[in-house]
Amino acid sequence: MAATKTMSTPTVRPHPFLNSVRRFIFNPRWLSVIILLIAWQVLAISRNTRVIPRLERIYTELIKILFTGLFVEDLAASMGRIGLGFAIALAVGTAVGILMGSRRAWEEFFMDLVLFGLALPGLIYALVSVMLFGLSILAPVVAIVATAYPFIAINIREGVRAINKDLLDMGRAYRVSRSNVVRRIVLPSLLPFFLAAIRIGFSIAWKVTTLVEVFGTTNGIGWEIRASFDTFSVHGMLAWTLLFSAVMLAIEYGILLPAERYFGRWRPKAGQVI
Amino acid sequence: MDVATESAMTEIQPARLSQPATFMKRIVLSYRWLALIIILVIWQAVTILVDIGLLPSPGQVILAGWGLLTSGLFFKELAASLVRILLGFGTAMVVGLIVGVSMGSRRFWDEFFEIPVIVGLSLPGLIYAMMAVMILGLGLTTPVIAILLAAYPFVAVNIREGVKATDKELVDMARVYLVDRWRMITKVILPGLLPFIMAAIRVGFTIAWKVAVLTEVFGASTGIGYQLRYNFQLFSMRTMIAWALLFGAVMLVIEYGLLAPAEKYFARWRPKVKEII
Repeated sequence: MAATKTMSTPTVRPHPFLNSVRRFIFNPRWLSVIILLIAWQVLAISRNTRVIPRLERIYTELIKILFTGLFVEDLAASMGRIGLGFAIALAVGTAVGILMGSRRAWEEFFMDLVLFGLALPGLIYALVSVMLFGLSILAPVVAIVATAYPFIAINIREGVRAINKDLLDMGRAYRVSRSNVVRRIVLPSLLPFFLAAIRIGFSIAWKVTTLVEVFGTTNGIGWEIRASFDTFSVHGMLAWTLLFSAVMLAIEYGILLPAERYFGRWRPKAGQVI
Repeated sequence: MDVATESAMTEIQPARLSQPATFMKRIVLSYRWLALIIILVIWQAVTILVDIGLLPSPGQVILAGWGLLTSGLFFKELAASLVRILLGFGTAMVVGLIVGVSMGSRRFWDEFFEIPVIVGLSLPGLIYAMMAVMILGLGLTTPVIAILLAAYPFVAVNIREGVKATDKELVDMARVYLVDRWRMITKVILPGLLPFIMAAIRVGFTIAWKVAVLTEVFGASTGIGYQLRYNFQLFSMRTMIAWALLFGAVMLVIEYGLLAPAEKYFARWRPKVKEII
């Protein structure tokens, strides 16, 4: 098989700086983004319709939202709802998960509810909550709890099932006190699963909050998105979505995922044997 | 999909189907009915005791649902939605397969598609639905494009994992035996890919129907999503909940009755080691 020349290093030249510059420019990662942007701009200019805005339009909208403080205002409103709903969902989900993981009876009891909750889309919970609770804070909170608790529950359940029984037996043999058993055996074992549950729960929470805000609030990111939709402002929706997603992804990949990896680093990394 | 969701979704009843009697006993004598009864009781009690505006009682919802079924309206709208779902799902599978295979085979494509896939994985389906309706209008392209964009990353990621996990030794062995290309693909590579394809189908279908309904809520005049929005705007709660529950039931049956067992069936040759990370 002939050696294939990859795009990143077409020829080897004795210029390390130029090489790294070349590697950066020709990096396939950016290629897709660049192609996408060029295609979009070409489409926008050729079609010249309101619903495919030019890149400059989107950019100016982005700047406007950011620097007039509008984004921060709506973000704060949304984050409040996300935070509250997520906290309650975490509490409920953890409780259910622990119960499900400990006793078979509880698992049977909750299993259907959890499976049902896993499959139903957040849209339905959002619509029903808005109809039931109108503009109050209950609407997003109930919707988030209903949509997210199954995911949290099954993650915690996996965590409870994965607690090392040998360690528990050993603790009992050495007559370790109950609080110590919980502190030193149960909690460290549960921590990675708990953090995974937090990450997944948070991911769901912000998506459901956006849905609820689209249908029944008067401020927040979702409401702005709804406003953009109603005025056919594609540039507006893109700007809001990009900014909001950037913040959420920063939280998920910048805080939650590293935390999960850090606290899970004692685990043997058995990859999936497929 | 993470391990916990995966295992919960494929864990149907344990397969001790040796005798019909034990099977029925497992279904009938479990605590699940207790949960159902408690839910119904609480629901009914809340309807009577608390005045949460528009909360309908279970009885009213059941009546509304029955009406939808007997009048045939449910099936008519379900068909309209299913057409969109299946078309979008099919397109997403094709594109996802192409992207996934290329990502799994060549490093160049892996890096090329990395950003579109990550962005696609994280954006909520709501955004795809609304953008598609705004740009593409009310036709059939709207749900198809929205589903395509929302679902192809999930399909691609699964297929990529499958391609990367192909047994290189088998491929080398087949090449030594000068196996022709077609037989190589169908008998060596494809069977290994099958569980991943099933997983991709499962995830793709889930996303497909959720995004399809979202598209219909914002821009359609037929279909389940349209009915949800219609009843939402009319504040007719019982009908809206009836629609939601009926449609949810159909989707649940497809997912847990068809797709999950199929996935388990195709993956049965795999050694069952639980992923720890």
